[in-house]
Amino acid sequence: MPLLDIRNLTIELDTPYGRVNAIDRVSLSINAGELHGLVGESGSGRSLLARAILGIPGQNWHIRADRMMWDGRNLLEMSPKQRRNLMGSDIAMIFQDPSSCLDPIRTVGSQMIEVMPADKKYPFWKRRSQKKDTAIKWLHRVGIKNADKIISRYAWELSEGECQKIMIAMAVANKPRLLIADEPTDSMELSTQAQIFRLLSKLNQNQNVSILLISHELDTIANWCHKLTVLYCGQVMESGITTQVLDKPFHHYTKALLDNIPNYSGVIAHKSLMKTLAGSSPALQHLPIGCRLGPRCPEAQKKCVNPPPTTHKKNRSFACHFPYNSKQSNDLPNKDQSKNNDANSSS
Amino acid sequence: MTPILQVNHLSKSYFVGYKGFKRQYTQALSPISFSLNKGETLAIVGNTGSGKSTLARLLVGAESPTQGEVFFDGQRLTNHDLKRRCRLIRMIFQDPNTSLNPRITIGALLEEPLRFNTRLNKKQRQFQVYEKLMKVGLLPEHSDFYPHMISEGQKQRVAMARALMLNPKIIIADEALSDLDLSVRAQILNLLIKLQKDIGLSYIFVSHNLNIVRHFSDKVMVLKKGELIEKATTEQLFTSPKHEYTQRLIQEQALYSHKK
Repeated sequence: MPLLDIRNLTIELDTPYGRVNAIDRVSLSINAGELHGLVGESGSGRSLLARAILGIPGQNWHIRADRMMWDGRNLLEMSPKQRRNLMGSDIAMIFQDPSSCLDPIRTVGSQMIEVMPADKKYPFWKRRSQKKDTAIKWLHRVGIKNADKIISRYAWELSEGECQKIMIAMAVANKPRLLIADEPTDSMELSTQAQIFRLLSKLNQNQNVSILLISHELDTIANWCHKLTVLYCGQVMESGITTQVLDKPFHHYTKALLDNIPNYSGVIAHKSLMKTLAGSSPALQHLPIGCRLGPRCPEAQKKCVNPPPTTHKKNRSFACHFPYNSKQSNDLPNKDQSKNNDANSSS
Repeated sequence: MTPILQVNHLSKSYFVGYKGFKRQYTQALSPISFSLNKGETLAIVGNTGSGKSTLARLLVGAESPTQGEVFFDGQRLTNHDLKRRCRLIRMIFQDPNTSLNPRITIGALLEEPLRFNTRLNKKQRQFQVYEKLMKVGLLPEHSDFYPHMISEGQKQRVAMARALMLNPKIIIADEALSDLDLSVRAQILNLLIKLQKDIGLSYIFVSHNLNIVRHFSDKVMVLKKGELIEKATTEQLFTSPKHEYTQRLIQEQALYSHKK
């Protein structure tokens, strides 16, 4: 049974222009111990989805879903208090822009201690020092070297990477079962990014934390995720096992994203123009009907004004009337690949 | 042919305080020399704190250098000659959401450099604005819009148009592409390449994404802690990096990005 199972989640926002459909029938399932990537452009509703899972909706939101199950329990039927109990202890989140998320007027350590629950095993006079020890232990574990010094520093004294590590330590200290990382490496340099990703995947392996990794850079997160979901304008375009999605994208949007990564293996000439989709992603008030990629899609036809059904094919799913790569899928080499996939999934 | 930009021993040190009675300085940028030809792209690569942004700010005139001199087309650019410098060298900033003034329309925003630097009348200025908007792939109607009314990719195009406004010879892009979405980034990159082909712009391109640098630039400089470590053409640098630090940067990029 998947840890988190969402079917046809729809989020509508009340705006001065009327009600807009920000997230349209999104399905997402995360198994225990999985590193799931969620890729989408800015404004595609990634953060809305994350907040809906965590249970911090805005005032003008209307959430509907066929099913939203957390470990066998229905999230939609829970009382706010029950949702609050899940938050932080079972589902934790790392927010964008770590240095501005931390309180500038309190030390990092006191903020960490605040979120950690008291351990009832210890008598009350020992709990304080014990909490500090656990905080230091977690800082060590996320890869901060002089943890006992860092703990009495302020957030503005630390670098972006260190702040991010502290945010991760805070999120992980309660041993959550699902960690939602919303753009954990936004505007960081490559080596720090790699450190953070390595840390997250290590947590995923050692502590068996499931992680939902949200990003806009397909090329950086592709290496770290087991599964990938591609989101465009609030619709799921394609989801499946990362290697398969990248090798044989079914959806034209995934294909376009892959084309947008500069590739210097000799295919593209130096300084030549890169392939892009024409136009830009639409504003929420002017969403096209049917497939939302429609006006920009190179293969769009008359049929595309009807919303495409989600097609499932060998543990992958995509929503497109005219999928890319689908014609070759009956060829011989692909049968071999499907065998390999079966072998992978059984192991 | 004289290079369009020649930089000789440019350096910058910041005053950090007194130690006893002695003034203390940190060297943000050690003396650096390089040249840039017309229609060429020079990429500056390095980690944070390596002085790439300092170098960009020195060239654009936002800071005055401690030592060294900059020659433009064989003529020396003095520190105080901001008027000439800002006509020749323009800058695109990292985040288009914050670098455009939200209170004035895009037309007024683009007109501003013309108002302060040229003697054109209102009609001529408007004509220039329309022309530049078309050049970056927007419509003349966009001049009546406010920055919040257009998408992020379009905002970066407006920033590009603002940089082009005074017909500069060199454009400095300080991490101008790193915050954008993948598809928008490819669009802007295409625009930069097209403009270079059409009007022979030179770019100084500060970035930490080596994939883009490899695709886009002709020469690469690698900086580390304010010092120039390696300077080579793109092909040389990526096929046979001389310095150990450069090798590490390239390896990192190959390891952590999807396409190897």
